[in-house]
Formats: sequence, C-alpha cells, structure tokens
Amino acid sequence: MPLEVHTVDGYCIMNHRYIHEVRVLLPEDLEQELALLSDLKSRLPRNAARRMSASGIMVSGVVPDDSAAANSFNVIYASQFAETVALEKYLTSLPEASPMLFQTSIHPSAVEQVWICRQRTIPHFIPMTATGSDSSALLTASFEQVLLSAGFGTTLVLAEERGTWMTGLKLASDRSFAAAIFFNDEADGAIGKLFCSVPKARETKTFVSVNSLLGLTEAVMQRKNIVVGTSGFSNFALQWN
Amino acid sequence: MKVFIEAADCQTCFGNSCQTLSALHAGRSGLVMQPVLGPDGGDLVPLALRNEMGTPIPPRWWKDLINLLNAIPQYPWGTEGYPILFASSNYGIDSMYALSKNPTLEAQKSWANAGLVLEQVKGALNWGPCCSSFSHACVSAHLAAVQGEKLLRAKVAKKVLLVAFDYLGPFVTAGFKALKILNNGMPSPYMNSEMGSIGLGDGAAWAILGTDKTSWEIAGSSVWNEMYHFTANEPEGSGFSESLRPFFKSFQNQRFWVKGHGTGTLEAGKLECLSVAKHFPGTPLVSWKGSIGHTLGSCALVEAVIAIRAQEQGRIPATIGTRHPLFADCVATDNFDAGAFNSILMLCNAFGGAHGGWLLHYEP
Repeated sequence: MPLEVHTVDGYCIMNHRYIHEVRVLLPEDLEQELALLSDLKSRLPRNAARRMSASGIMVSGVVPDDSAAANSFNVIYASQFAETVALEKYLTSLPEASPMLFQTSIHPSAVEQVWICRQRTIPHFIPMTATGSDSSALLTASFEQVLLSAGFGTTLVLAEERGTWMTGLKLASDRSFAAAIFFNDEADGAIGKLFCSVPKARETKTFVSVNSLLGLTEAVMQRKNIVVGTSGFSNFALQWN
Repeated sequence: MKVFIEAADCQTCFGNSCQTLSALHAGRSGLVMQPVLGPDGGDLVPLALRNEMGTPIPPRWWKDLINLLNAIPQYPWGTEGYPILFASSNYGIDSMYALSKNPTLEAQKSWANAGLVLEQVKGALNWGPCCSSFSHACVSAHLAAVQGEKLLRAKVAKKVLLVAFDYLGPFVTAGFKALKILNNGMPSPYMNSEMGSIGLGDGAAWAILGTDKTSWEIAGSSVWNEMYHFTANEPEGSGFSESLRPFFKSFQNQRFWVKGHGTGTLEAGKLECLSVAKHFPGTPLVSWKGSIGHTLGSCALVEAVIAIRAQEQGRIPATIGTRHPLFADCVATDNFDAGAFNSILMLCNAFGGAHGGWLLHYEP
C-alpha cells in the first residue's frame, strides 16, 4: 500500500521505492584505494580504462555490466565535487588545454565514461551537484528524485574522488568512494525500501540521521536504517529488511 | 494537472529578453573575436560577453546576475513548497582557475565550486535551503525545467523557481578550443559547409513554474541520453529521433515552430536539421547561437525566454549567421510571422549525446 507523504496542500500519494541491489566501494586508505582501482581497471577494456577517472572506474565497480543497475531506465548521479582530478590536471595544464581532460572534467563524466564504454543508453539521466558548502541538501534532493522518477527502475549513483591540490584548499573530497542503489516498485525480493517519512523524520534508536554523501555510503555499507532531511524538503527514510 | 510558465526573463550579451529579441529581429550578432583566455591572451575566438573575462572577487558576473535575480517576483523561495532548481555546468570554475595559478588567493576560496557559489547566491537573496542543482552540461537548464514540472505534478511544490546561469571563463573557452569547434570562424548553424564553428556567450535566466493559468502551458517534454560517444552523436541520429518521438502526436494537433540547439557544429547540426525535417515536415527551424553564442548550461532556459517573447510579440527571429547551402529547407533564414503557430518546440543537446525537448503551448 502506498505511503502517505506530506505535501504543500495536505497529503497526497507519492510512491515509495524498494531496494533490490546495493554496492559500495569505500577504501580505507590510499594504499587500499590504489589496489582497488588497479583491480577494477584490469576488468575494463584497456582503451577505455586508460581514459577513465578514478570516480569513473569506481562507478564501473558499483554498477557491474550484468547488474539491474546497469540497465536502469533512470539514473540519478550525485557528486558534490565531481571530476576532481581531471579538473585539477586540466586547469593546471592551461593554456595548453587537453581536449580529453576537458571532456573528462565535466560533470557527469564519471557515469558517462561507464555507460559509453558499454554503449548503453540512459533514457532518463539526472546528474546533480551540491547547492551549499556541504552535501546534505544534495543527498536529500537525490532521494526526492528517486521518488519522483517514474517506474522501470532507478539507480542512484554516488561518487567522489580524492583530490590533490584542491583537497588541500578544501575544494575536493579527501576520500574516494562510490555507491549504487537500485530501486524499483517490486516488493518481492526487495532488501529494503526508501520512503517519505511521516511525521517528520527524526533520529531514533532504529534510524540514524545522515547528512552527507559519505555518511550515506558508510551507512549503506553497514546496512544502517537512516533518515535524511533538509529544511524545506520532505524527510526521507531508508530501511533495510 | 496543467503546469504553466508564470513569469520569466533572461540576460544575454544584448541585455534582457526584450533587448535580445530586438537585436535578433535586426539580425545583429553579439559575437566578437577576442582572446580565448581573456586577459591571459591566446588566439581570437568568437565570444558574446556581458563584461570582460577575468577573475575579480566578487566574480565578474556577480552584480550582473544579482540584478537579474532581484527582479524575480517575491515568494518564500527555497522554503517548503517553493523549491529552487539551479542549472549550470560551470559554477565556480573561474575561481578554481585563479587558484590553480595561485593557491594563496584566499578571497577566491569562497567562490571556487558549485556549492559555494550557490551558497553566495542564496545568501544574497535571502533564499532558503530547499534547492537542487542539475549539472548536465548544455542540457542542464532543460533538465531543471523537467524536474520542476515533476515537482508540481507530484504536488510537492506550489511554485518552482528555475535559475540558470553560465558566464564564460578560460576553463570552458580553452576547452572548446581544444576540441577545435571554437576556432577563428563565426558560427553558421545548419549550413552545409567545410568547417564547423561555434561561438560562446554569457547567459542567465529565471522562470517561475506553477499551476496558475497563464498564456504558456508546458505541453510536453523529453529527455534522452545516447551514451554513444563523449562528443559525437550516434551517426544514424537515433538520439534525435528518440528525443522528438514524444512530440509526434502533438505535431498532428498543434502548430509549432522549432527553436533548435544549432551551435554551428556540422554533424550535430546536420542530424538535428534532418530529424526536424523528417519528423515535422514544413516546420520552420531556427537557431540564435550565431548571434548570442552558446550559453552552455543556461542555453535551454535563456533561449526559451527569448522564444516566448518572440511568440508574444508576433515575429520570430530567423537563424542568425547562416547562409546557403543549408542541410535542409526547414531552416528559417528570414524572420517570420508567429500568427500561424500556437506552440514552440525547443531542443537542446549536450556531451554524451544528451537530448532535451520542451513543447510550450501558447494561448494569448
């Protein structure tokens, strides 16, 4: 039965979504990250892998070719800092601009790298980025998009890559990670669900509050039930079976 | 539920939407050959700027943008029921560029990525935190408009504010020059010539979507992502056909003209032109990027506002900067009367073979 959710003129129906696949890559340190990237790269076509960014390679890892996520009708991609390393290299290369670094540095390149490599269309692709100095509203807006997307399957992809000089300026992530969550409307076989929370979600013994992409990635890896909320948005909860 | 555009305006190198429309009616081009890296020099390329490129703080676009956004009708923007949807592909890049040359420039650090830029904008206009940002290169503004319509239809918004802006900096100008499509030629959209050229321009726009009836109803929209190649389209034009498919039925019962993407590149221009001619025979196609330049992430909304003004004023500007031979006869090379039409179909494309289509129905 659909859940009721709070809307501006009372209550209306907004579908919840069931979770069917989850994959997370969250290397603990640089050594583990490099080993992971090397392993993932070895599974990709050599020509494509040579041009891919760290976040692109990690997205290929959380969205394997044969997964439901890889064939999703809707793909929502959330990244606060996007293609950090390509952007760093491209900017410092000016005025001798590299066309490859330019195209790689443009959001949403990480997802495009993977889907182009597989020659697979995405009917509805929704790349998003931050609207403030942290990723809390981005996270909330991403969940809102999952619930607004029409059926046929929706994949939420999160990715950040460790920067170099930009990280030193606090303009990039200090950690690389990626996660993909595949949602659809089928209750059978689901491992969890995302729904709007009524009344307003708040931290309880069974739900922890999360307010960043990294926080969501960690919580998903540990299968923690979470609530997400930013002023002005509906509140969302993610619950595991 | 019907969704309408309740108010909108834009800003190009010529000024606001009415000033831009006048310039387009007169066939004027705002593109000027200037150094690709602005004050840092480089080869001359066609750019249509609001003011000189550079990296001052606040950024060169700050006052210009805030002046435009200050005219937006007052609602509790950024609070529950009144979300703001931002769209761009280059927020903060100027400051990142400045910091790449000199990391000690403290003042640049508060402006040097998308989130920080939007924090500044929201703060200056006392907007709340309920906002989203869509960044999908040159279809960003279109994507924001589609999501805005969804929020209204799902009744999670009473009104939606769309805000799109992209002001040029060396990051993007040097990048397009490296791709060799920004060169020493002026854009001639849809011209069957030896060499393709684009021009780039500054652009900003806003629109309020809502359910209060106005003359402009959103009659349909489409998105599609080919994922065939980063900078090329699937050669048979499948992406163009897929993005036009949702409007085949509308073609039977509405009379629309097409505001195309038409940057001046050869392959994409040809595929767009031939797709429009094939699926919507007899429908005029125009592009204005040969005049105002390609305003990148903001282009879909900037050009939509100009198209709305043109339809309201009764005269549609021709494709600027082009000449024969053309890819197809549907390309309008003279201004034409809007009276025969009751709708506009607006198209946009981006890297990765991204496509967007937006059908607006006009009822004066």
